[in-house]
Amino acid sequence: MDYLASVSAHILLYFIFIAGLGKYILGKSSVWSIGHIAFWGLGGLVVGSLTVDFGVNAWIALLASVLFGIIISFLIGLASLRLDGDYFVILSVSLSELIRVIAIEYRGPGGFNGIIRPTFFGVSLENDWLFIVLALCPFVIATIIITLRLEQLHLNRIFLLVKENEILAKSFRYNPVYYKILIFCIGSFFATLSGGLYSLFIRGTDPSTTTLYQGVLLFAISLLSGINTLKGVLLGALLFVAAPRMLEYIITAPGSATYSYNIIQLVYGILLLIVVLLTSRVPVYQK
Amino acid sequence: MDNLIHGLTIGSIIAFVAFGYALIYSILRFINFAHGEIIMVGAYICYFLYHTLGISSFFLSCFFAMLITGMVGVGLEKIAFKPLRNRSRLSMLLSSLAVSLILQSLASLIFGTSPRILTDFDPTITVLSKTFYVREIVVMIVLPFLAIAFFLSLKYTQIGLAIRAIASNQARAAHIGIPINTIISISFFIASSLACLAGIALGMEGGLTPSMGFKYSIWAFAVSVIAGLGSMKGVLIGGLLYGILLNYAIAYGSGLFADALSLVAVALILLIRGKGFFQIKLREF
Repeated sequence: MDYLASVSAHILLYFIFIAGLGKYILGKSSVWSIGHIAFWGLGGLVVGSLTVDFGVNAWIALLASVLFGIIISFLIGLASLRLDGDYFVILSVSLSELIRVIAIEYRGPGGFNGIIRPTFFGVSLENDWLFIVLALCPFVIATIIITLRLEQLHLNRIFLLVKENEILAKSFRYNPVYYKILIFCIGSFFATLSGGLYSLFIRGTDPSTTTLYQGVLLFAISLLSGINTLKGVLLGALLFVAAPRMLEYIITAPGSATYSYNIIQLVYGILLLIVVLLTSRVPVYQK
Repeated sequence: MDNLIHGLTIGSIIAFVAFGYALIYSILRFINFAHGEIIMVGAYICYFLYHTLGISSFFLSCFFAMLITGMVGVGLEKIAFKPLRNRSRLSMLLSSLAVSLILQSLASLIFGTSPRILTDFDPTITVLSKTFYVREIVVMIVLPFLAIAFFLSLKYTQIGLAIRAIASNQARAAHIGIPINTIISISFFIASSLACLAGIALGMEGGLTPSMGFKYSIWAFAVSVIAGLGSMKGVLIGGLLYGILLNYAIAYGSGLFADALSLVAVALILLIRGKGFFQIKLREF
């Protein structure tokens, strides 16, 4: 696989994911969805099982996975968003573990293999760059347009009111739980979509991308880089995807691959700590 | 019976860790993700003292390891959390994540990722024609004593009073002249040494790996949430019950199944009973 294509695809995919998490869930509500990576895993799981086990067309599988993600997030939101922030965290963590375990029990630790990429009006997307331009870019552009459009709606102001002051929102007869569930569904929609697209891109699923550790890291990065702005989302995607790979180029440690991986992790952690300590405000970008 | 005893042991270990969580949460109001790594650091320090430095008595090296780990915890608090105390809780959460990344990679760099064996002995004792591990008995005996000592000192000693005062209202505690920084350092010291004890117990059972702490920190966090964040009584009961549940799930299912089942149980409990079982009221701890 072309290295540059792989990196750009990852940046675009995580852009969609962080848009859902950082721009919507963290930006427009106070829901701490630490285990949001669950929906990424869910997208991959549904797309994988529908295409590989049932032979469904990949686009239809993607649509099904997104619908499934919305339904699941609606049910979870309905059940749990009445709870306080810190209590929702543990539910979110449980969900991400649960989805990972289901995926591993269903298909083994290697995940799915041999997902066939769809065609774009007769054009084969087997080439990575074609896939990026014809399949990923439209979704990224749609994400940006939807996001910018939502900013102008009255709904956006209600979201921010609910985030700022729930009691005030109640006094205007806006039910905070309802709006929290709505924003959670939107955020989960983007997460499932990016997870499904990722499984199409790598022609399989990769359980190592859905571990809770990855999820927590993504949560941290979307918090750090910026909530409720698209600039922050882009910075987050670059930080998550490009920064470790750039460190990989700079640091070529002697010895085994795990050794250099650990050095990269160390440098990454130190950088994260320094940034958090030095920036007078977290997140970096905020409206 | 074996399952029950093993479950109680795991539960006690989780309770050790959850004590630390609850203590730090009740004072600083943030979820300390680095606490799981402290378990691992404590176990590795004990390994270093016992094997590399060659301290002859294992219990002596355990004792020193607890002291040193406590110091490490206090040091981390000074470096990573103290400068952020006046900022948002999110900053502290992020910096605890960064600390956890750093500690884990440091441990892998120094000791390697392959498991290390803490002790070459694992004595057993036979009572009524049943065999028990001594370490399990020790953990189960130490925990209640420690818990009682903990409750009493929180209720009746000066430091315990000060900790409760800060937990209840930090600004007012500072106003009446309680040395906040010292008390927070002491709390981190206690929490870290308890985590070290948990780490040593885990290490005796399954060996040391740099990622051994993460899973237990999630479980301990779950327990302290079920208990009602910040409640010490709840942590003890919740930890033991959680350990038993976990162990039965492992015995009759698989490890993965146990992970999922126990967390789903937590989720269900939370859904049924909004804020955990032992909510703290402001006046009692």
